[in-house]
Amino acid sequence: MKKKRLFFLRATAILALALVALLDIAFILHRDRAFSPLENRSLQQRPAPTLQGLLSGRFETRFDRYISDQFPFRDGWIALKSALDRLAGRTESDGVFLGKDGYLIQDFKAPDEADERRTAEALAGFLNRHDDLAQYVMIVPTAVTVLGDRLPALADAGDEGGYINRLADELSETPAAFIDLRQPFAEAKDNTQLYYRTDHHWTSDGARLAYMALSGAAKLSGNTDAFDRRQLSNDFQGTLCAVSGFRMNQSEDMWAYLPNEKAPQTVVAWVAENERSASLYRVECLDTRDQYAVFLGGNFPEIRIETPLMNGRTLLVLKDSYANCLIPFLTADYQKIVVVDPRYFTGDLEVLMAAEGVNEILILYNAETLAGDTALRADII
Amino acid sequence: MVFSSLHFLYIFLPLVMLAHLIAPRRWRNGILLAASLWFYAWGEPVYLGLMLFSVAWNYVTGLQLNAAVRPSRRRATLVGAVAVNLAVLGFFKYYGFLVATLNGLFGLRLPDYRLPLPIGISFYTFQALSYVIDVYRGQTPPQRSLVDFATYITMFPQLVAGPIVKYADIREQLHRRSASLAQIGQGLERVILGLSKKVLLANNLGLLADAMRSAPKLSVLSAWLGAAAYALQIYFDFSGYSDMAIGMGRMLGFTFAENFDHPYRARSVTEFWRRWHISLSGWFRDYVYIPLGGNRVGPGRHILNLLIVWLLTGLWHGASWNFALWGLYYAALLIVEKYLTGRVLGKLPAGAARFCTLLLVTVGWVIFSNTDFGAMGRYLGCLAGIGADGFADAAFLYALRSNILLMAFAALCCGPGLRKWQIRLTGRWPALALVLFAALLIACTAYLVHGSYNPFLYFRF
Repeated sequence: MKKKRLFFLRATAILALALVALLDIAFILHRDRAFSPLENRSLQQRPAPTLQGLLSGRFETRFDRYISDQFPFRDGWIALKSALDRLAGRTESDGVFLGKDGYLIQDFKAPDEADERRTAEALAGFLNRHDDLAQYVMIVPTAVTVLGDRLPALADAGDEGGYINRLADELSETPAAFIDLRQPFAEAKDNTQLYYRTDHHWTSDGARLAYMALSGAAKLSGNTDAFDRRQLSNDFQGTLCAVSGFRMNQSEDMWAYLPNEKAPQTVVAWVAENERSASLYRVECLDTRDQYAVFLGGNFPEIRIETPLMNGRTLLVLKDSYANCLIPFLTADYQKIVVVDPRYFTGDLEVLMAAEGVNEILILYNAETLAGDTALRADII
Repeated sequence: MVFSSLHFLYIFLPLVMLAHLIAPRRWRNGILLAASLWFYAWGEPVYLGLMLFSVAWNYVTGLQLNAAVRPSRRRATLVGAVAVNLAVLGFFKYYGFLVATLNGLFGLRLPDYRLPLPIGISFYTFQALSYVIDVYRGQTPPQRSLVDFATYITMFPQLVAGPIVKYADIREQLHRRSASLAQIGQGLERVILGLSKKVLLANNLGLLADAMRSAPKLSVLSAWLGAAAYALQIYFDFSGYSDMAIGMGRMLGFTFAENFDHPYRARSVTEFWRRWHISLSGWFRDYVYIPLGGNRVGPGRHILNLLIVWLLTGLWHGASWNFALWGLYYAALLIVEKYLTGRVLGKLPAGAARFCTLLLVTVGWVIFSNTDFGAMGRYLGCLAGIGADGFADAAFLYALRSNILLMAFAALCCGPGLRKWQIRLTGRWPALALVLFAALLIACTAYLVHGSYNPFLYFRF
């Protein structure tokens, strides 16, 4: 027994040294990476020592981060860590739940009362100011509400439904039609995949359903025959994997509704970027990590879409990224669509609306983004 | 530098150990000293000068105490040395606190320099004080070599978070020490265990404790779950650090005294403090409590002694009133135990006595962990059901479900059984034990590479 213990102690020393030497040699030999696709962030490069950097401690902080960012087999270590977390029974990481059926589900974080009130007042003020225009408000529930049955057992998620109810209540004094998607989504969720499994966005099928729900209030055709359901990608990995570290090897299909010959021709202008295109889709984004950017190219301050329709309907969409895959359906109903993302828009919205002759307004946010939004609160609108 | 970083574990420590092993014996202390200074300066070089001043001052004081013959002269030298040490500690650790308190009480406008706390100052100052006092008392000869003395004060394994090593305990080893391969293995075994305690247990328990502390609403059971998680976190955090320090000391050929002895198995608060942070309670016992007369005085004076010692112990942990309150809480408990309930406690079955002690200690940690008295009051209220959001809620069930394995395993690690089993395992199936330790090291590395959550609780000292 003593002998065996002695063997263990000596072997521990030798093995530990071997492991350290192995990893250190791998560290020296491997080439530093600038970017980690897995984590979707830039990695720390080797810092250059300066006297000032050394004395202030900045160099040391960077050097320590450099060692950990460029540690050999970094992706493997991260996968191992998540596997251990799951083994220990953890089903939530950085606000993302490890859901059932392969779903990663972002938790809803309610804003504090003052912020919530300021956002609601800003919206109500804007809508009341334009009571001569037709108005629709669509606050999309996210997977945490709709796919509540896919949350891990006993999960204590934020009350998104309550938030949507409060908002609907605040806006009930405005002329806007409040379109509540909870009912149609609850009915459709078992037959249709409404949300991506690895991303916080809804799918184009979810967006299509929302378009149908909008069509009654907005007197739209409610008809998506001009679009064909096509697969765009089979290796989409949304941001929730990187955020949580869960299911880092999982990817999924991405489907979209692409216009067929029945669809109207469009001219799309990214105003601030001074770019134009005939297509609402940017296929090159499918080769990047952020494949969801295929819809409208991602988020931009202002996008103007014109169609050959001569019905005089001009729609202003105040939106977040959820709108990007719904807007294509609207091209069948509007002559002009002005898409403004208040998070990036710096111009004067009133001037823009007058200049473009806007006569309808759609406010389209998912509840999670709206709850965390700071732009509306800051009197952008 | 912190122990639980890849830089330390994979670069600094192996290089230092190799250099220490290969170099001729007479260079060893020099190498250790250089490594310790590098370790200390990494990240915050400005306070290196302060530590070197402390080293030089106490080195000279030791020699002076030895050279002086007249008792009055020796006494004056000692008082001067203690005063300087305490003045430095007081200025850098307590000045801001004192100014804020005075300004608050009397509406003064004394300037606050907002100095960051020099890392490890509480530990190295206490080591230096123990040295000069022991030399004064004639319990140890002074160290004549500046390099050896500096090595003692600055030794990196115990520099920033203890244990507080008394000079007399390692005086011999500073001159003569050997590190065999088996000793290095023994040290590594301890380092890996300590690292696992810190990285695998404490950090993950900390996530739970923080979640509960920052929750806007707490049910009674959530509050208790959070408090229990914090009690476990601080134990594994601190004892893990001590394990690593002792293990690294072993690898260098030193034998540091144990700092923890399964404190959560204590059957009374008195016993808890014999098992928790032993080197600190020992320091206060030897240099404050006993010189004040200890318990060999009348009850009135004894109670006063306890109050003084525990107020100081509390404030040693941080410059904030909640630490003072925490210290006085223990003074009160110890007084009650000594004069009222001690007999009763002795007659209770061991399990019941342990449970009561654990309950009191857990409540103590709530005081310890809340520098804001309002938050402390609210949390204590929730524990008692005042202002709590019901008895149990969904958040509690989910937190329990997600952490029950972790909590249960952590609780198991609080007893001596697992460690005994592990030592037996190494003696029977060494290959299996090797796999286990490799797995622990690899798991820790994975958590460190991920590195999103790695705060050290004992860094404020």
